Amino acid sequence: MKRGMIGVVAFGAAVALAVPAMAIDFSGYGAIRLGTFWQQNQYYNAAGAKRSDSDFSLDLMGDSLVGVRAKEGDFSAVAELGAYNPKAYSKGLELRLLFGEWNFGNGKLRIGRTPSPYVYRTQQVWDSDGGFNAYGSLWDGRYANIKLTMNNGFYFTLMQPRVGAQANNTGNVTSSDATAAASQTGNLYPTAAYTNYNTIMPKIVTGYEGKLDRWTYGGGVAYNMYNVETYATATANPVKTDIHSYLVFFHGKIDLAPVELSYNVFTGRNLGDLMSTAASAYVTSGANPNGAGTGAYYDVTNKANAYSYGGWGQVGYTVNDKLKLYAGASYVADDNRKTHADERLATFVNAQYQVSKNFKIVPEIDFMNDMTSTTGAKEPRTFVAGAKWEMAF
Amino acid sequence: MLPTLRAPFFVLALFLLIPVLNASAAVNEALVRDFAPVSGYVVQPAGSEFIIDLDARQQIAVGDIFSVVTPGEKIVHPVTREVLGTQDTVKGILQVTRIKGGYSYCRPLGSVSAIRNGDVIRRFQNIDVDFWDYTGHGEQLFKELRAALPQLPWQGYAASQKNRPATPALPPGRPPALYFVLTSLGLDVRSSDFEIIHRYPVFDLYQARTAPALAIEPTSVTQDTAMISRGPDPGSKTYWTSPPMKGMPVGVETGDFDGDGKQEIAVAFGDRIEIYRLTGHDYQQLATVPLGAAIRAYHLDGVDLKGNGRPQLFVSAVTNAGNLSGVIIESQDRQYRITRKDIPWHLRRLTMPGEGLVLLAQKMGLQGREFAGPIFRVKLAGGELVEGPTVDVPSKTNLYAFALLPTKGRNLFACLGDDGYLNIVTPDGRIVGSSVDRMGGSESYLEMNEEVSSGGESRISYIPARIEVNENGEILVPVNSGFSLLSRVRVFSKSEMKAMTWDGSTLREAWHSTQEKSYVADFRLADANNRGVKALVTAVAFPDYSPFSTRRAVLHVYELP
Repeated sequence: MKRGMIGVVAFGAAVALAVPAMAIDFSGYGAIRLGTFWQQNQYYNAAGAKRSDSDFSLDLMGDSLVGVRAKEGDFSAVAELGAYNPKAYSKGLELRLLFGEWNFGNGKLRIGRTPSPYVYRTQQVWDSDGGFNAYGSLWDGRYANIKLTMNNGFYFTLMQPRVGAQANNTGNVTSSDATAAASQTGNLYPTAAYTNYNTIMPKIVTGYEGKLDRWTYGGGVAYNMYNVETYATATANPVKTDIHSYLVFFHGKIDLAPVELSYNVFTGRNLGDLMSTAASAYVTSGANPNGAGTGAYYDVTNKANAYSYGGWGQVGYTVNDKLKLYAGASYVADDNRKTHADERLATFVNAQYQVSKNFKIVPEIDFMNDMTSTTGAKEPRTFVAGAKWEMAF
Repeated sequence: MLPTLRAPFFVLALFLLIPVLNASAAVNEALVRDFAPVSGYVVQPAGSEFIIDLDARQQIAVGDIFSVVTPGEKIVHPVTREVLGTQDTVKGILQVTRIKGGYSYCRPLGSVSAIRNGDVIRRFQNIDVDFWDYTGHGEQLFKELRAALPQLPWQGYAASQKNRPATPALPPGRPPALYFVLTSLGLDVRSSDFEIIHRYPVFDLYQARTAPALAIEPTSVTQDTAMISRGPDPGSKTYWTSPPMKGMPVGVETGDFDGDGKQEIAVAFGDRIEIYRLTGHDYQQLATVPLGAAIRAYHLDGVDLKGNGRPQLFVSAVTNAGNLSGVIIESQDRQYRITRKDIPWHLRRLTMPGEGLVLLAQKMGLQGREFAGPIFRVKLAGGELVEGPTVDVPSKTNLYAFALLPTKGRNLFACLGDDGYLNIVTPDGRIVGSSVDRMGGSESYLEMNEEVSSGGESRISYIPARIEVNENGEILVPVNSGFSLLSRVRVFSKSEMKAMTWDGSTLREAWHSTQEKSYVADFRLADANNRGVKALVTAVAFPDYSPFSTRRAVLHVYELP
């Protein structure tokens, strides 16, 4: 890793020295973000008794990063490295973004690793600028995609398909296969009962981003499909099930400077199967470690689709060029109509104080309520108070 | 090795010299200064030499030749009674050998018997001047030299060429004279003993030829008239600096905003517009117009869209959420007020051929496009701003990155490219010329937030520096330089103003201001100090790397050469 970092620095220096002689426009950027948060969880034991757990953390936030943008003519590229998010330092740096973009006049073609188009987050800073991850936003990480964006606002995206909670897209490969180039296809088949997950098409996201005076709005649909083959024994005929997932989303911002209003609403089916990672904040029912949410997945046992709806709203107010205030609230419900609905809500309020051009402190108070799980059990309530410290360059 | 290098160098030098000889602009101001009339007195003999009362302060140089004269009868114009000169009698010739503080030593050239203490001396007067042209293309330069240095008794061009030796050498038996010897390497000026007393290489000559025309005027020898290139004192007549202002300026505009017949200066900062008036050296602040907490200005222009004789100030601004929200500021009843808000366009004033000053605009695009759609004229209809006819510009050029460059036969565009070079572009977008070095550079920016809602970083998009074409066809652009790898930490530390000319094939520098350790945020050519002539007005900010301090800025007003 150290060698890699040295390489990155050396490359950056070489680029910097070479820039005056090149037509390529390079610019670097970065942000160091640190969170100091006091958090108290109230949870319920198996007997339903209330318990609490308090923690204080002072740690690097997962969206601390360095990056570089390059542009030459109609082509541009971005590479961004950052702290691993969620934090797991043993995994080293995370490649956050790596994409190239071609501006062909009537639109742009982007290929590479970027967030999913339906991600739309608030100004909440807790949980590494979580922005209501799992509580109303649809964050599911950054994955490879091909995105065509037209100047008129329409876009069309092809993404790697997902197969529900399976971290490596297949249920019948060993851990060593998970990192193989063709990990979508297993090559070690078990001798006992097993399940195949078959994918035949990319996940598709298409939508529109528009603007009407001071109202910036967007919306779209996403669709993902895979097939499950369940083998009762190694030699039995499979039972096949097609899992169809879709998402319909709308988001926007109304700029009534100095006031701004933002919103995000969505509904869909089997969203857990659609999201780009099994470990996505959404499908694990929040960042709360005690959360247990499977309510957004296709219910194999009951052969039932899960239906979700939710969203968030936020209001912001610019006091002056140094101080901005934000407050937001959200609600999400996942329900397969066979078990209990899995519901969550959250609120936050923060003050973004720009100490200098590059230095910002954001004190914040949050309350997250995971309400009930699919079993009907009470889930934790979480109070958070703290601040984000950010230096951006 | 050397001979092989010499040949291409000679060709290159000759190539560079050709435009020098064909241009019709100016002569190197240093040359003019070196041969300007200077008078003094003989102080006393010093051995075989004489001491005169001149030194480096009068810009004399070793090798300079002085005539020792007896002033004769005045030559008076019969009608105006103006004294045109005197009928001097030359008593001897002196040549400077050493320059001391307050005096200099001279050796006599010829007889010294008639020279007395207190005799008047005049530099380069009554001494024959020959111009030897070894390039065959120097006649035009000769004419300009003769025009710039009329006090020298020039021999005719043809006569000089007839008498010049085949190779530069001192002709035998010549009385004391000056020899201007033009070769492919430059112009040498030799004294009567054929020692070089001044040398002007090809490059210097080239610069001279692209220097402002006024620089060749004899009167420009004085300290006050060559401000653009001489590094003047701040308190001099032609260079003025305002008291410091707090903040980072993003624009400057001049005009009679309040209709009082005097020019005002408006300076835009991110959060406010400040109005000043400079009359002579009387500088006063007239108003401060806060823009409010919700918006941040990034560009300023003024144009009299209402036709009432009082230009309105059009401030391009952006909200915290990233929407364009320009405002108009006007003087009404001697009060400066915001008379319109929420203009959803980038705004810019530009001089259009056949139309004069026009207000142009462009929209912001969707999903991270700072500029989108055509550039269009802005009209006033029923008190409202409306979109007018579009302006055809090369593709991929935004509202702030171009200026029209009318040339013979076709219209071209001077465009600042994304890579920082100044390009000459045809209407169909073909680049036909480019600057050698990067130009422009701005710290005024838009913060693009299209990626923030999906967990990404905002992107700083810098607005191109102002680019203008003046009535002489010169392309004016600031040149800001500095080193910064990080997009949010751009602080230019060195700046100058440059005027470039397009000769049909090459972009060349016409003039430049002195370099400063500052950032030129914006500039104007206007009668900013109410003296009746156009001046160069710049709003500059000084580098400050402390994250907690407020940038300091000033206005400079230069008189143009």
